[in-house]
Amino acid sequence: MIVTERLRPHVFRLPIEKIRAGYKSDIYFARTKLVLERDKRHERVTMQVFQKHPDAVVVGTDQTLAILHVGTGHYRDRTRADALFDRYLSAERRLYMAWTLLPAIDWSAYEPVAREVFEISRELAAMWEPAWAELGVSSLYDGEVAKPHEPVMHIEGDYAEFAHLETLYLGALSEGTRVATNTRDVVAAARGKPVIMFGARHQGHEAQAGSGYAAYVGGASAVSTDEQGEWSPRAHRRVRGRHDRRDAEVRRVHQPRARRDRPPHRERNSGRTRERHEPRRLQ
Amino acid sequence: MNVTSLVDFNNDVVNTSLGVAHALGTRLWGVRVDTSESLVDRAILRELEEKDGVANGDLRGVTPRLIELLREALDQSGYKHVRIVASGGFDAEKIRRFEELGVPVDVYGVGSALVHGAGFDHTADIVRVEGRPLAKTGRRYIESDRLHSVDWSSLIAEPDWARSSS
Repeated sequence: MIVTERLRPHVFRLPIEKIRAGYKSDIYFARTKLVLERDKRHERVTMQVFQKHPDAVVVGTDQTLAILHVGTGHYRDRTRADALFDRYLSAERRLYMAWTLLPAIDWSAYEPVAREVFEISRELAAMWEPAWAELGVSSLYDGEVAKPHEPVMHIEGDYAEFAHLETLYLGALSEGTRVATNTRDVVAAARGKPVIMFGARHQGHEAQAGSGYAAYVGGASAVSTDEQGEWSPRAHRRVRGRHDRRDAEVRRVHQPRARRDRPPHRERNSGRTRERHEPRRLQ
Repeated sequence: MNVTSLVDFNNDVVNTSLGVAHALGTRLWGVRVDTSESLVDRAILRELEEKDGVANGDLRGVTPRLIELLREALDQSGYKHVRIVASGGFDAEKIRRFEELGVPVDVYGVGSALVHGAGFDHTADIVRVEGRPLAKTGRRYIESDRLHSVDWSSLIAEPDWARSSS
């Protein structure tokens, strides 16, 4: 299916401070941004994203837009932002440690730790100059098929503002596209019989929401954990033989919970006649 | 809830399924066959003995013959409503083989084959600077009328959290 109604950035619960600080970027991209900022180079560039699979079901475009939204921009005072970010990391670790001590500590002990994380985040946000609004982006939708070397996305803007984001969005696109394309092929092989996504045990748990969503876009009928349904449109959880309609519907994303292990219900009295869905073709 | 029972615990999916179906009746939605690829199910072994050890196709794991035997046994015992979910090492190729043989699987559970695999890497290149073509060797700006222009204002509307708690 094709997700024409894009997932909003908040769906992805991105680690904003880490993305802005370049903590998750290949270090040479983070340094590229620093150099461009230091030398006041603000050329506008067009970044072109592509892949080489013969007919890939692309997933990750909406997450890319979310990454561009929270991550495009710069800190007005980079030196101070870096120092603050170091404090943020240690405060975040202390917060987690305090959390693991529950219920042994009470609010009075927890509050100063939580307050520090919040205050640092707030201070960092106050120093952040967002620039997403100046980006011109055009992109395929999640679920559209890309041919080899065909542009998946064009991002046009001041390179210094988004140079550090490449690692993150290429990762999102590669991972989503892998699961969605695999799923499309498996579902086609099953000739319309329902396929349940059971991949959670084959990946780190952090990957569940993204993989579950990609499998859904690729045509899986159900997922096996609640978190795998977190990003997926509501229709994902109504899996009772709605294959055809699901394809036509425009979907919205909202509710975080999905039912687990819920293959489509066969019609009553159908005995053991197999479901005869047409194999679903992705446009 | 679609009550589905794993039935390979004793490596005898036919008898375990019949037992579960007997116990749960119409409350049982389906059985999930997840036989290890290193084991030969007892139903297959029984059939082998009857045929003096002449094997017919795959023996180990979830095989077409095992699913057929299970379907027959369920139907003959009046459990036609019970679906068969097959999992364990299924990928597109194995599913295609099952479908070509008309194996009566109702639902496939697929894990590893969905999340692994190579050849999906994406690449990004600067292809224009200040509107002029400029790209590393072998790359160039490619026009595409398939790309959809992103409308930030519709994507970044008022914060959802402020108006919804669902």
